[in-house]
Amino acid sequence: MTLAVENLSVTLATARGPLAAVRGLSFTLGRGESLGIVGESGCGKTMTALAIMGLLPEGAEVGGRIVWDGQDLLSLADDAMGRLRGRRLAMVFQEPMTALNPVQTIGDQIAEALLVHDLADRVGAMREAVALLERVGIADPERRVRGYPHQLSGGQRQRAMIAMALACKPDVLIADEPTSALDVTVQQQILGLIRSLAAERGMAMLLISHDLAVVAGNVARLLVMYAGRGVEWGETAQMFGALAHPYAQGLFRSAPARALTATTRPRRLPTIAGQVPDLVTLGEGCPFAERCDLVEEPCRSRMPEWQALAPEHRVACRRAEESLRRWKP
Amino acid sequence: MTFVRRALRHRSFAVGAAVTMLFAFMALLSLVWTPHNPTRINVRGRLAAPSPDHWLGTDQFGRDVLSIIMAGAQNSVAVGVVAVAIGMVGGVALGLLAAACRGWIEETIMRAADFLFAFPAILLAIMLVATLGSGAVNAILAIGIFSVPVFARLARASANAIWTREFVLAARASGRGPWRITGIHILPNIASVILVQATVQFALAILAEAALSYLGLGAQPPTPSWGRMLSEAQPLIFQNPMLAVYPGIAIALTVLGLNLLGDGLRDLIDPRLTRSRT
Amino acid sequence: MWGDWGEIPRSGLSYAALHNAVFAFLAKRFATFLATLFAASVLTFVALEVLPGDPARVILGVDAPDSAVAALRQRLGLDGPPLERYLDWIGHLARGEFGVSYTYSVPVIELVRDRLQVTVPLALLSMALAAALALGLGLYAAAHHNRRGDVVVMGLSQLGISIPSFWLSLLLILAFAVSLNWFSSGGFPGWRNGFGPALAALVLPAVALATVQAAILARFIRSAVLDTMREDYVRTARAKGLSANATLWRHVLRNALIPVVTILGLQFANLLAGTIVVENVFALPGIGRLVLQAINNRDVVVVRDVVVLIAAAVIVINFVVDLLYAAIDPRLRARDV
Repeated sequence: MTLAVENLSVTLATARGPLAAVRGLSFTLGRGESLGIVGESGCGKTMTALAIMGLLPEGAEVGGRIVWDGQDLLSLADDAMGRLRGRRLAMVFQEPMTALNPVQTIGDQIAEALLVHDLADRVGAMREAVALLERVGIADPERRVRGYPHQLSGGQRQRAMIAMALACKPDVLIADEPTSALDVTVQQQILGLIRSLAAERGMAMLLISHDLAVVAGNVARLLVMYAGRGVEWGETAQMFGALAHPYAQGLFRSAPARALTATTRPRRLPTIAGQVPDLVTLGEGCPFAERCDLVEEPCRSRMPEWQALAPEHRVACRRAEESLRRWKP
Repeated sequence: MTFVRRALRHRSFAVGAAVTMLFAFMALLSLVWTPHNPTRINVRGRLAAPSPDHWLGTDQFGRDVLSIIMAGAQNSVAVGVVAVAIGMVGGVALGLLAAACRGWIEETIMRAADFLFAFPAILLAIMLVATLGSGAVNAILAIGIFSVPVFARLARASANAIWTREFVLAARASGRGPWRITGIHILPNIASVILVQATVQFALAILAEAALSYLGLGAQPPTPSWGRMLSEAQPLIFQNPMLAVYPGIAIALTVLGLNLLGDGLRDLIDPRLTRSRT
Repeated sequence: MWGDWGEIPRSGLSYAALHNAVFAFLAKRFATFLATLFAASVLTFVALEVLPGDPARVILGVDAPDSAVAALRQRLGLDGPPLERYLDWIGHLARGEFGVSYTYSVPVIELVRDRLQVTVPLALLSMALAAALALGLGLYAAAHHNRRGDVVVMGLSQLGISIPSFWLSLLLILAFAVSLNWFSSGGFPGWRNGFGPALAALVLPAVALATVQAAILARFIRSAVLDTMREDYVRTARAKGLSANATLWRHVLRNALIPVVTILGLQFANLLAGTIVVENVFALPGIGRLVLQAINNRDVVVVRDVVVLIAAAVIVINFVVDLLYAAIDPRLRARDV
């Protein structure tokens, strides 16, 4: 059961006009595989995730195909999609503070996932909720299952969210910035938990983050997005050995973890010059053209074709070779 | 200019403003001219049907209904203006004071406002009337006092939001006292919100006055008033139902106009665009 | 929603902690309740007794001899220093002893007891009607946000807010009593003569009262539901596989009700004020009519005691709303500890 995103586009209606949040995005995620999507906020990561779940905001227009288990999810009716949501495709959201219902107990919210899909009766669902809380590492699960979200810390809430997403043993888990709202010390624990649970249950995992360091150690493949488009894709280790897209290189260099570990003395973090383009007025060319130091005239008018640098490594850049030459991992 | 154009295109604002202006004009016109004398009793012309001479007919005392309605607008406008002025001046002053002083002063003012808020306005009017006797002045006073907490709450909440802004911080850093800051920075910035509330309170004041007059606790005869017209029409409801319809339409239209005006103003001052998440 | 907890053991510690938290919350709310009640009695007393104006003089007229006025003042309990009289009054009230009506020569409590049989059912009936109507309209408008149904409902509610309840009462009398002859145009047969006729007498007044309340409430419910539908946890619920409808009922509604409950409490004060007017339109022998008659008769004792009773009712309702609030929102129970 492969999840295949084909030429996905998402357009949002804004007061200033249609905003192209995602444009021509394609990738596949096979059974048990893991993929990380990396990019700045506003690059279309979250919209991609919501498109897969069929939860795009009202007024969003979506194009292309999202094929899963032989059917195009985009053409499914909402009730058919509802049977897949939570059951086969599950999602962990960014803000554990606001993503849990404040007036229901943790147990009720986890049990609800099972009850909606008729996977348990009430008593069984509650017992399962306790087991799930225990599995995601919450101490004293019998007590916590009766607690309300405000009684938990941020890390515990995110663990509860994960428990909720895992309740129906889904085939695909989408985690959208699962650790961005958490303390640094908690971040790695949560990521480790998600990765080990995915491996343990054979789930495919889509990990979305703005932070290259967060994603790199936890996924087999990486997709770098910029301004709604995919710009580089590859097997993680292979890619870090040969980052080719100028934007991906900039993203890597500006990651704080590397700045602190690569040199003995702390140094200034390099930043990418210029600004993220306006997605309402953006044209057909490479979206990074205005900020790229290797830019050529054709870059501005047409989106570069994908080219293979290795069997498991592709990049959408006309100047990939020049760019690659200056890359020092 | 753009604001005016935007305002005219805003449907509820345009309709509300038009209706409100119509009634304001009617009240003003009635000061100098009405088709007939609204207080002159004419025993022979009682309960006349609508005619070219009396467009809406006459009541049981032979008075011209259209003329009473026009003159009644005076009463409603006067009550609304005075009551809202009392509530606005008192409430805004208290709200600004609470926001400027914080601490126990704020706490006391807000508790008092909460309390008054939960107390039916008509009860105070009833008590005032019980001690001082019926009359328009007592009704105005009661309605005004009970719109004080509405303005006080709103002024305090809006003022507190302004107090945290950078330009206020800068003013404080440069040594300006709380009263000067309130006058220069806070009041001008909350004025538009207060204005919107004033239109809504105006509508509520007209409703409350009509109710008090209906009960005989408001304007006394012979002052023309919409509320009393209705109470006078009630015994005749089987013979002459339209007498109970016209004044109600006048009240409902005026209140509707003011409410639409308030809604429109709120939209125009604070356009909340649809939020989209990325 | 899943009340059955199965075999999961209850942790004694957390139960005790929860119990303490709820107790602290209740204690604090109860203290506020008493303070407000005290403030209401002071306000009533000050308004009636310290303001210029002499009820005894008003009753007897300008020409009455001073000795007669003084005698009546004594009878009405208007003699002596204000503080002493206030304490005397409030002391009696606290023991449940009300004054004696000047016009009826009957203890106020007896007058009130009869009238409550009209006012309480009327208030409850119209509140229930208003809540049901507003919930339906508000939810419908929110679900059809910015579509035709929404615009129609909001237009109707704008109209409902603008119509004075006593005029609506007259229109209802015109339509259902004069033209259709389904209901009587006023009066109350009493509960002893059968439940049906008594209830029928309350239908039109309740509808008149409920319409305005429902118009206001529907707007609040609509905007509260719309605000709640934008919350992250609503998306979470959808991601679990709940349908849009199930999400609305199980997740949106309860959260949206939190602000609505506050409004409901405040509305109750308006509703009681409304009963004073509407009872007079329909000539219903309720509390509102009693107050108005007492004013016309300058019966200060009745006015004072009944006003305090109405104020107390409003305050009690707000206290109950506070408790309801805590029942809906678990965060509140903890926050105030």
